[in-house]
Amino acid sequence: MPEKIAVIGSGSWATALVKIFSESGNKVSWLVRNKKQADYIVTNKRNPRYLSQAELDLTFIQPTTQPADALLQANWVIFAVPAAYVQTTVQQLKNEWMQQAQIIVSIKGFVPGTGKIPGQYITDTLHLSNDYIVLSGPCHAEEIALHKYTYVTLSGQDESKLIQLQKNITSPYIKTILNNDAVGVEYVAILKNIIAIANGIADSLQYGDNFKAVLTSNAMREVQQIVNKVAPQQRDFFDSVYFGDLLATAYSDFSRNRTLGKLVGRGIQVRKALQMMEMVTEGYYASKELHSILQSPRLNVPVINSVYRILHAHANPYYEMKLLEQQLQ
Amino acid sequence: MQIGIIGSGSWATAIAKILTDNEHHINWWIRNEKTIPYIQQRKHNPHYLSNAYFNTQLLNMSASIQTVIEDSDVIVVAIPSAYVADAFHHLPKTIFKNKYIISAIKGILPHHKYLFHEYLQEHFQFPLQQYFTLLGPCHAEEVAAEKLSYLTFSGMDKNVTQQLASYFKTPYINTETNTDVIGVQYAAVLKNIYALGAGIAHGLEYGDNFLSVYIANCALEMNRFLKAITHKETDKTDDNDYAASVYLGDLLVTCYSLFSRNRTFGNMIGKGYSVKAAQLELNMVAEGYNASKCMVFINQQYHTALPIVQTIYEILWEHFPADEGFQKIEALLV
Repeated sequence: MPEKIAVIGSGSWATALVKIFSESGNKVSWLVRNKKQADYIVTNKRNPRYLSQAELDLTFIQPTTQPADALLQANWVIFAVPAAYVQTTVQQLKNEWMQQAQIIVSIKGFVPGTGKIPGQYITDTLHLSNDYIVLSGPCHAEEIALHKYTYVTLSGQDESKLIQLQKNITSPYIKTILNNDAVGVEYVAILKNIIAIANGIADSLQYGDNFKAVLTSNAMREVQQIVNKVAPQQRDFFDSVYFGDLLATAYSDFSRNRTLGKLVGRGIQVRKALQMMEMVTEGYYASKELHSILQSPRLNVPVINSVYRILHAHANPYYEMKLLEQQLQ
Repeated sequence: MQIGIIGSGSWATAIAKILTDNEHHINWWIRNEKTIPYIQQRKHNPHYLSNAYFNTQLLNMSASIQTVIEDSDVIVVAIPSAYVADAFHHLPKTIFKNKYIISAIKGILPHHKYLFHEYLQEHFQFPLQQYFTLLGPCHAEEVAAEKLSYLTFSGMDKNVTQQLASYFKTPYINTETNTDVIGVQYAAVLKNIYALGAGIAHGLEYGDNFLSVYIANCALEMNRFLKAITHKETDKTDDNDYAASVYLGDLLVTCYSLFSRNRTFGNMIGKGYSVKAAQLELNMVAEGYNASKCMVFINQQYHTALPIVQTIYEILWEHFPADEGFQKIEALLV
């Protein structure tokens, strides 16, 4: 009996997930934002605005705008909305719709104003008892549309659940990796976006590859410090789930966080740069939410602090990077 | 201290620029005699990094390697590893006595299959205490453009290492120091192999998603090897920071940068060119090519699992099809 999977969200990443799970022969009910979008998907077999290059197989996909319909009898519920919309999304949902389902979180960013990572926020707010699973990269949705070979990481405490989920992903270009560190993985997914912004700023200020390599390897060390502080556990940061994810975002030209950094580095006001971006740039919000966590005196995180000052404290990118130069090793 | 530079390729030229920008007089060995009057007249190297200009009053160029070494206290060696033996074998055995050598060589000596300091030990009884390395994520092209770069100096004596590093500190060069003089050399060798592999993956049309996982696994494999040699050579567990720029930064810049020769070479292999055709087309040998063979050989005494290096070696040297090789790698990655 095919599993029913509910996907909440209709951005690029949610679309990529719908594609993967439907191709693998699962029934996917897809909660999208409005009727127009749902109709468009049914008629044209693609998402009108995001990842529209990916053709979807509608035999297995049911787009809907009704949360109750989407979640009805779903075995798995995947949250794949931008972090900024987690709160409004969760407000529409009811605990009783999800009693039987395993929650999967695939969101990169803090829930604004709460300082919580999405998995914690969702389970707390909806009073869900079981552990959630985190589904993460390293991956760009765009490459999934092109069927480029990609690794997807599933993280959670309950290994049998992970294996069950793994069996539901059979697309030939996807390889799944299992891991037990859901919180650490979620934090890295947040931090990497800030690093990508730093790299974008460096790009625009005409720093070269030499410098960006140093910037990224320093940032890697900062990520280690922060994650080990918020979620102490033995982990090897060179594992692809941590480091690979960081690289895919920090170095790729597809990254929107990097694009935001490029705009800001060019001297465009942060507010205007955000308006120019059509999509939500998670790193911007993450940098703000993270700031309070970083007040601890034992953390030495110059790259992340610099991004905060540039984005949220009106620091001049040029001078801020000049100061940062002296702190890198 | 009088500094001498051995070599006139891109990297040697970049080093000459850094030192002369710091107002150091340098002795400079340039193999091709005709190049010397050209640089004197036109103030730049005609063949390599020709957009870097020099204050020629600071240059004392010579086509005799022996003179340059004899006249200098600190010798910076920046020639391709494959040419080291040719350039050095005829020198008097005592010529390096009481001198410091800074190696900027990124590679293994292909015929001997060992590192430069081992060659110096064998042929000149040159002590490791007087041997230093200059490595790190640094493209010569970016030095010419004065883009900020970080160089790492490694040596057993902290104070001397710091003193030598200070000669290189300019507004566009930041310097770091550490004591892992052997590990950093292996890191520099390995990264060329991994970059060549990144090129092959690119040629086979893998995307950024795969590449990021591949590189993270390369970093893991490299750390494993470096830990093994540190354990064996110094008999203590190492406390080296493998996220430092001389290890990880250098790996990143070589694997991701489009300037990298290893990556370009690998790309052609991935597209289906034979090794020979790629060499002819690019008119050069990528260091990762020889390095892969040497590392497989050297690893015989350490027995570390190096599956990525091993597979790239098989693709380059044993006619293993590139696409099948990477299918093998796919299965290995974590």
